[in-house]
Amino acid sequence: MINFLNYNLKRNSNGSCNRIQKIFNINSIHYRGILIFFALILSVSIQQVSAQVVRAEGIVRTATDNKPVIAANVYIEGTTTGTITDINGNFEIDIEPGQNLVISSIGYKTIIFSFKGEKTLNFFLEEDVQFIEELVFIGYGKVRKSDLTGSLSSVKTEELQQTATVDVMQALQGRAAGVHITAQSGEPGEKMKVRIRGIGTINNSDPVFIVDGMPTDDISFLMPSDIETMEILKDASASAVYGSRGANGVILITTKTGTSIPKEAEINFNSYAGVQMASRTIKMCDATEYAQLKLLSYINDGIDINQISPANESLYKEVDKLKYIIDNEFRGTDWQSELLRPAMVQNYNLGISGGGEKYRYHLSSAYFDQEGIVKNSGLTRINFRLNAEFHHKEWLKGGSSASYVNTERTYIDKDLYTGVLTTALRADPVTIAWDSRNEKWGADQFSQVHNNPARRVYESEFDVGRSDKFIGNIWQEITFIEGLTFKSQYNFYYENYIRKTYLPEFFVSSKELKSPSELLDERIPESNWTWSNFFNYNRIKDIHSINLMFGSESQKMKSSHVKMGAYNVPSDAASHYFSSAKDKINFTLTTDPGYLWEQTMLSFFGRANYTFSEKYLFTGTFRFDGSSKFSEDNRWGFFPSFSLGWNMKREDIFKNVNFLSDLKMRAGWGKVGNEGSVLNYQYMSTMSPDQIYVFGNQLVEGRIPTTMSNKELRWEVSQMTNIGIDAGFLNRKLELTIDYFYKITKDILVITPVPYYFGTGAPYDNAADMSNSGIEFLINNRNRINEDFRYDIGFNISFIKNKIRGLGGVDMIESGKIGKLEAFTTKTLVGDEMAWFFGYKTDGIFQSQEEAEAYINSEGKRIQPNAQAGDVKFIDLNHDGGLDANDRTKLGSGNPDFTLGLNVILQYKYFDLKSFIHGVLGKEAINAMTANNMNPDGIENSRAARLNSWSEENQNTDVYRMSYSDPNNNIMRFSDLWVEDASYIRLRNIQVGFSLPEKLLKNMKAQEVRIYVSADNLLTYTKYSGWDPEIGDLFDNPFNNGIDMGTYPHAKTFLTGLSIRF
Amino acid sequence: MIWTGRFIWILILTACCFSCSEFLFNEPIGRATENVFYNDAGNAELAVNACYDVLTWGQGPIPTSPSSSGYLGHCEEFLFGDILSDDALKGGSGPSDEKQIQEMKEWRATADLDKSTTLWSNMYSGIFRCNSVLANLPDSPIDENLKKRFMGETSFLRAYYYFYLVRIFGGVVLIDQPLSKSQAGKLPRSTVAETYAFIVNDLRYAASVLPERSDYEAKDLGRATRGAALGYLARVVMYQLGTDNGNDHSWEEVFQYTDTIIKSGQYSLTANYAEIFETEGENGPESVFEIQCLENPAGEDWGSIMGGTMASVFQGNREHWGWGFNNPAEDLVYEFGEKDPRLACTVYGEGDIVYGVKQKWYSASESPYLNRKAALDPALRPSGDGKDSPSNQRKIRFSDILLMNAEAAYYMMNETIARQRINQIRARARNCTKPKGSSEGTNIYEPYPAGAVIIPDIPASVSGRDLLEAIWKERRIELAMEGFRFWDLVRTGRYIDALPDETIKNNCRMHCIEGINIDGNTSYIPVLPIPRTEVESWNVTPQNPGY
Repeated sequence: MINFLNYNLKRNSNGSCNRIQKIFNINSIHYRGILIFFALILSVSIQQVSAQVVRAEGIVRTATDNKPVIAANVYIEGTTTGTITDINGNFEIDIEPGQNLVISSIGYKTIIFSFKGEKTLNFFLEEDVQFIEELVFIGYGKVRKSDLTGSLSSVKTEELQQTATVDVMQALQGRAAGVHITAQSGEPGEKMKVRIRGIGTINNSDPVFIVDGMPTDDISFLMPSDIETMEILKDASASAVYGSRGANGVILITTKTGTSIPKEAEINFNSYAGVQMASRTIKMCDATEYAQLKLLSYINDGIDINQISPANESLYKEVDKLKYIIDNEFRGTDWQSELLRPAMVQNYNLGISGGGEKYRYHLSSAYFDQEGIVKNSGLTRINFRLNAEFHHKEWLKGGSSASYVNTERTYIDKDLYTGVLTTALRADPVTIAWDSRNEKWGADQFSQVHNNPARRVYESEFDVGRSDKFIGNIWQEITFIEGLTFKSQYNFYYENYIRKTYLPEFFVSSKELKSPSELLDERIPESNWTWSNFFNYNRIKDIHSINLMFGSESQKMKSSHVKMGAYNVPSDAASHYFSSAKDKINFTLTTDPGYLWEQTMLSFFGRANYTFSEKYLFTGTFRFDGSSKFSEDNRWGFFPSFSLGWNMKREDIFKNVNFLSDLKMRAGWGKVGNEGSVLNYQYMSTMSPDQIYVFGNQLVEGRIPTTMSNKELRWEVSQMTNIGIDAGFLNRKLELTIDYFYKITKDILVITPVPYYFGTGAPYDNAADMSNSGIEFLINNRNRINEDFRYDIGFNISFIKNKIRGLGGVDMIESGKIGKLEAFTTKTLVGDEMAWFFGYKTDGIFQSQEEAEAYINSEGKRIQPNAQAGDVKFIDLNHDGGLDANDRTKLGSGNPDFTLGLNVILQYKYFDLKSFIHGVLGKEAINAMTANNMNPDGIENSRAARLNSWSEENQNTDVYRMSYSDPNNNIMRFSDLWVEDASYIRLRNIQVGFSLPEKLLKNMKAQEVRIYVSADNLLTYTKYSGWDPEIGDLFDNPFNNGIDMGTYPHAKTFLTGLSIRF
Repeated sequence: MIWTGRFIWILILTACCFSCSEFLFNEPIGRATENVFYNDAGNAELAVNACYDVLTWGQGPIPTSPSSSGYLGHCEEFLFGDILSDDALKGGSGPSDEKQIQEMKEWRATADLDKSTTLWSNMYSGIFRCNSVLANLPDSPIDENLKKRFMGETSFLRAYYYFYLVRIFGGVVLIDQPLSKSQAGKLPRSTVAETYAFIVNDLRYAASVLPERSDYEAKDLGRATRGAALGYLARVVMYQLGTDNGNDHSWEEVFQYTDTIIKSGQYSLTANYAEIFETEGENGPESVFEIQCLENPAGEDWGSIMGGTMASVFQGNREHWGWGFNNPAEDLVYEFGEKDPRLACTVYGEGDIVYGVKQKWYSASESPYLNRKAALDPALRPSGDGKDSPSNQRKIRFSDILLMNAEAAYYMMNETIARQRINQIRARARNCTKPKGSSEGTNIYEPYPAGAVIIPDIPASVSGRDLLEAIWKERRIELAMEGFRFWDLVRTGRYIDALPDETIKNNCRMHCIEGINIDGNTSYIPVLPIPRTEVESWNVTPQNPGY
């Protein structure tokens, strides 16, 4: 607010009022002081006026949201008599009836009011689009939104606080066009995958965050409520000033710092508490159904289950047991309910901000506690943050911020084989969770999983990660002459991460046991600093406006890793330390070179903005980046950008088009790099440790390079072109933004495959090329129908098309091996989208033996010689008369065709309704649990859908038969049976709030009190049969996009909240 | 005054000037760069050790590559040597468990076969490491004798890896130095004969520089020896004779190499056959080469920081500890006859007592047997739920040397020596006790009661073809379930006949390459697929027949 006023002062031609404002704003005298000052002025005026003068009182508010307008000018037309409104919008003025009262404020339409002797006056100022001069941050500076030439999305703190999360990215999901955010899973504390304008590159498509000038890839130290504004720089002309960090977009975050309007400190208190539950569970077979299917798998294979001779003892016993289960109609264990629970979430958050002439501050603290809906998962976070700014001297200001965050979370086992979520679907329902008779965990009966999920999830309690982070900065800014400033900022970041895993001793069966107990302790300290220094020069002369910036930045990052283990540690929590271990301590050294590194960067950058007549805008930027990741010859990258803007509304022809309040065209081109794609030291050949062998009955160490190095590594470069239109209609009640972009990423740093016969890890290489193009569309309609009712509806939709242009010499990359299925499931081809699901197409099942035998090729040979009635018919796509890998085709992909967000805010009197809908459409997923839960052998548990499988008794179905030996490979051949439509539309949040009326507030001495009830993920519309259609990259590998291996489901959350502002 | 203040601030803030090149160069922390590593003998030894490491890899992860997201399959030697032959069935939890093994066994596998892909990848990892050492060592300033030994060990290992490849795939891509990326896709497949020539060359060099077993210090126990190099030379030549003798080898060579070993005095038969595969039999008098294993408590169950092998868990009893693969076939059991004590040391079944524990049985076992030679004493099981077994993997035993010697002698018309060698082995077998822990609760070697063991000598009357059959049969029994049967059948031209039915025989015939053996006859060598990507992306052509 204060910036906006400050800035516009320069543009105001009204001299005297300007002066008053200047005193008020810039020098920031305490407002009582201002009143005294005005009293003096007024006393001068009073001497001049005649005896008919009356004293009028009034209040000035905004027409759109009924908020008081501070420092509006109120003066009598044709005189120098005037005043300004106070902090509550109130004013008093002595005036004669018949005189005209002028009420004006920057950014609003001026009201001229003919005074007729009224005692109290109420004015509502309407926004004047000509003068709304929102300032936006663009990196090392800020510009008026109207001068912006790049593509950028802004998100307000209010929107970020709507969902019950402390993860800023989760709060951002769906709110900005072209920004696609996916949770890797619903587990509390999981990282979000953020993709700005698609998958920019192969190895690292994460955007960079710039928090108050500090570059970072981790913003967990911020609460959504700490954020003042968030700008997402999407195209190169906006992000190129960040050079090698800009390729995947830049998210600029400005945190709250108080206000320099002197007043009492403002206190914000927000809290909510609620309960979460799994948004859905998967219908699995119970014990009786399981037993029926298992028997069916034998019957269908021609085994007469009534005639098994006792000589075949084990099968005899098994069939006997299965029959017993069926006869007694046992229901057995519902493993999902053994794991899932209703879980609490609560959040308390206190913010205090204030300031004065010489200082501004914002202090916040928060406590967040979220239990996971899977037992023993959960996250607790405590945040403290202080942000302060000091104006030491007229020419010098500075500030500092400091945050401390403590996060504690437990980890549930998510391994493909032993993970609790996958085993909950695999384990047979006959097995009991807890054997109360023998006081131990239930032993596996049939499913051969040998990993009781209830036991494993119980152990999660002892797998705790704790992170302490300290993040801060200190900066000074010098003003040399008006418009020329120099700013120096030093940022630091330190994190100490400790994870302790205790694996207790247990004996479930001879195949499920742990002895002795084990304690693992892992520590990762990480630190970095960034120092940036830059000059800014602003000058406006006549119709020319110019802004220049240049500077330099250096950065150093460090990380190391150590993991140790000890055996035979007592089970009580107080003993979970090495000192209580009864066996000697073993050291585990990690081999991952990604863990132990130092990295430095040095950059020089600059920007020039030129605006002519406020109509024609030009921006050019450049950046040189040098990185320690490359050898001396390839170290430096140059990243320029240019962009143009045209404020068409200001052209004469549009001047009188009243319904059109804003029209601007933007076009830009830029080059940006990506430094995150490559690990450190990849241009040097280094010896990897831990190549263990044994001599003389002792383990001995071995060392050898295990990956190839590549001296030629250089920067990966993206070229982005962007064309956009911003339009506003009907006094900006309706706003529209359309952007088209085309982005080519060249020299993508990938680990390009080498033949296996190279026998070594493939090196990084600047090998692949890819393009992304798309359209983003954003429409917003906000209006105030009358004093009681207003609404704000925003809708965004984006379409992105991804195309691989080259893969470094190979024409395809196969990936996506999952669990039991020993074949690749995705294929990435040059000229095509990334990571298609690639497999066989099926054509229903053979309903009879004749039908199966009739499936022959031109030579009369059977295409599926092992197929019987009830087996799947696979299509011989290439018509070569047989089924082989060449019959595979594209079966879908995890990349959505489009994503959308719909945000609705309705406010009627004291009530408000907020709702947010997020949709991801036109994507598919591989339900990787299919191999387990739709397996013909029925060893692991099956989905309830399996009950409809083909059998002699149940023909005319589309579910293939049970078969213990499955000679037709019905499911172990990757086909469209695995692939499901995973589009979804989700009611991400809906909330109803009630704000206390002003009268009550006054009694409470509060400015705002709002209570609300809210629900997250209340409804999800999808055809997908797994837990959740929101699926990340399996193993964090983009080539595995859309493979769902029992992803932790998202919770449905119901909560009530309270926010108070004093 | 004001201006001075401003400039002092600027000076303070920008006082520190960076030297770009120094600021941007970071020496790797925590690890050495390759170019200086070999300057030190201790370091060089570490590099040689890393070449051995690959010997224990029974499964992938394959080297980092975007197409690998996780594991490749298993490639334990018994998958090929035993399961591909008439000696064993797949086993596991049921037909869907490791289905690819069954497809491979029935010669229905495709070029996506994990087992062969992993094997290919692992063996080339070993070869890369050897090449890396062999390229760097010659310029190293370390002691010449030590250097020679290191070179010998490394050459031996390179030959070992190539020999594995040539047996599974036929002729492969021959690489003798570190490669640069531009060579990817440009290296041709060599012929079977060229590949064998390369191997023989490496082994001859190794045999010429490596010390005898007794010349090593105790701490080096397990390193490649002259005996091991000669043993492999004999085996490599013998395989060529039966399959593809493009390098014109002769049985005399096999005889010479084995005879040198026999006469070296370094080896003898372990007195009690039952002891060979137990802990106390590790690196015993009979051990010519074995892969050294120990559980690495700080390691994983796979890959380079594993210290042992997964072969034990793979073949262990599902009802006790293991996955129940590699079930010995009834046919093999009949081969032993009734009173050969080696049978009990080779297979066990339901109710048998192993290490003092009575065995329960898993219903889906494909045969009533499991491999006793791969059984692991419960006391030696890895801690926790680990899979890392400390069981050394015997690769060449002295009895194998004797049998090779016998076979060579037979072909050299020296039937007396041939019979003498077999009888040496049979005599030792007669002294075999019951396997370890054959009574419940005990873990000792109990002798058989008198008359329970009958293994007559091969009489002089057995001659000609009968003698050869006797040698082959002795090999099958003596070396049963040790992963040799498949290749013994192939090199003696009996493999396809031994397959169970016509469909599988036909499948197999589609996947054979042809060679001319020592007799001038065409031999059919069944081979597994070259990994699909190697063929389709990297021009390792031609693909093996039928894939």
